[in-house]
Amino acid sequence: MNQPAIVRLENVTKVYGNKTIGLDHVSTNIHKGEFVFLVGASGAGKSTFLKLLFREAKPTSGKIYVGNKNISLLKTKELNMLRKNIGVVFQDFRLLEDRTAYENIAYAMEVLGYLKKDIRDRVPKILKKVGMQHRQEHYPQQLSGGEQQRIAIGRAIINSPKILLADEPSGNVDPSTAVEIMDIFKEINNVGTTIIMATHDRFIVDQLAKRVIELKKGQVVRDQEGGRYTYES
Amino acid sequence: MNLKKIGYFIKQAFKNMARNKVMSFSTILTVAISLLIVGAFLVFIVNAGIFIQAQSDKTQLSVFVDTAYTSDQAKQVENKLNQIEGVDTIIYKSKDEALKEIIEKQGGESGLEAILGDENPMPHTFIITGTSNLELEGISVEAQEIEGVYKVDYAKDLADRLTNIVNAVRIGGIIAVGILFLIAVFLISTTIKLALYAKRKEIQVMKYVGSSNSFIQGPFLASGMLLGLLGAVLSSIILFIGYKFLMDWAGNVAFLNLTFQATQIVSIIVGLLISGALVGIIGSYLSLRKYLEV
Repeated sequence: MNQPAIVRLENVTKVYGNKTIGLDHVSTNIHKGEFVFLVGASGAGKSTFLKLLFREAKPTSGKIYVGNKNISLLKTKELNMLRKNIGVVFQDFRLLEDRTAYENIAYAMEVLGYLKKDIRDRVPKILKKVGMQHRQEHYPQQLSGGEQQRIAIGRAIINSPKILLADEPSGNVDPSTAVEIMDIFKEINNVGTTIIMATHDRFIVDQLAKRVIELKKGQVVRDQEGGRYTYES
Repeated sequence: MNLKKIGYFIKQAFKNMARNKVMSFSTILTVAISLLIVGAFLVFIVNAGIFIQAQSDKTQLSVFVDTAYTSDQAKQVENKLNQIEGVDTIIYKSKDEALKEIIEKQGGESGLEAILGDENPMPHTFIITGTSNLELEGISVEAQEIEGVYKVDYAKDLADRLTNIVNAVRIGGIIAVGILFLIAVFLISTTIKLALYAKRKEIQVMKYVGSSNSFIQGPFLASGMLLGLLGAVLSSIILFIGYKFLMDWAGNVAFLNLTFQATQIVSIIVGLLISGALVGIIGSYLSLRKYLEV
């Protein structure tokens, strides 16, 4: 890979308040445009890895660089810039229940202070991209898990982030829907967005055959290009 | 911070309020009551000050001469009075003048003249002002010792007593105002806390997409300010009406010397509005600092 690393971890350790180890001396580079799966058992450190990247948590030791900036040292304004450039998708979607699909996506632009006109232009395009234009007036409760996740993805990419983080995005949807959702991620990745995805979904990891970082007790035990969910020698 | 952003905050503030009607209403009402008491207290202090000032200005000694004394003898008393240190002016009121005054006060139809006939029970009177009000006490003691002085009267006690009362009220009032302010701040911060809780998911989304802190906090600060301000407006309206009513009444009571003064009430109302807004901002700021880790 000749491209510069967009994400760089240098000897990163995260120990939580109750002495639980999240990450244990992890060093790795992720390059622009990569699609990386984080795999491993529950509690292996996948979620910690993601949380550290958009600074929902700070490392106990070590350095994390996103786009050449040590993100532990960011001031509030820079942190907001970082988060504008990182989209996040969660297993439980985290949509606003009292807003329609359209409004949920528009909200992410509204709170960044975009003009109404820009919002009206952009939201339909994103709805189309995640295949939800026909359901835009529905509230989350009226949507299936897969549909809600599409909206959540739409919200995560509305501000064109350079990096998209996903924590078990197919964890709450059925297998065939999971495949459809992965197609959306692939498309997003194809236009150059770096994707880092924590998952338990063996089928998806094996099918996409992307880079796989396997964590065990907070340590990287495998980092394999075109890897499978479980290591085969 | 541009106008569009402020407009957005205010719109959100109204939405927050509409979402939480009962709590918002009771907060506004409490703020209004607190500020109303503050305002009433200020009106009292200001007017009591004016009243006391008027009373002290009028403070003077009345020296009554023995009723058996003739006007020539009274002249001698006046000369002695003049020698007392601290005396500024002496106005002489003869027996006849004093009687005439009394009869006029009675309205002239009381039949007093007929009853008295040629008798005049009124004494010759000297009205003395001191070079300062502080001298009056000493003057009164010395005047008392002059032969032919029957009685010395002065209104010191009234002025002193009023000053004491007003001072007590002022101290009590300042304490009460402090407590009321704290209650108002606490209530607003509770209301904002509830609003924060109700909007916790929105706040989470805002944080994830990188909204600026001002964008996240602005609507809540605006909410707090709005609650405080509405409370202040309500209290101002009640205070203004009450004050107008009271002054109309007081205007008819001559000795009170109180009249409706627009600048006085307007400055108090401006003070209340600023206090309301401040209380709101402080209250919401406290909640934001405590419950919003941005």
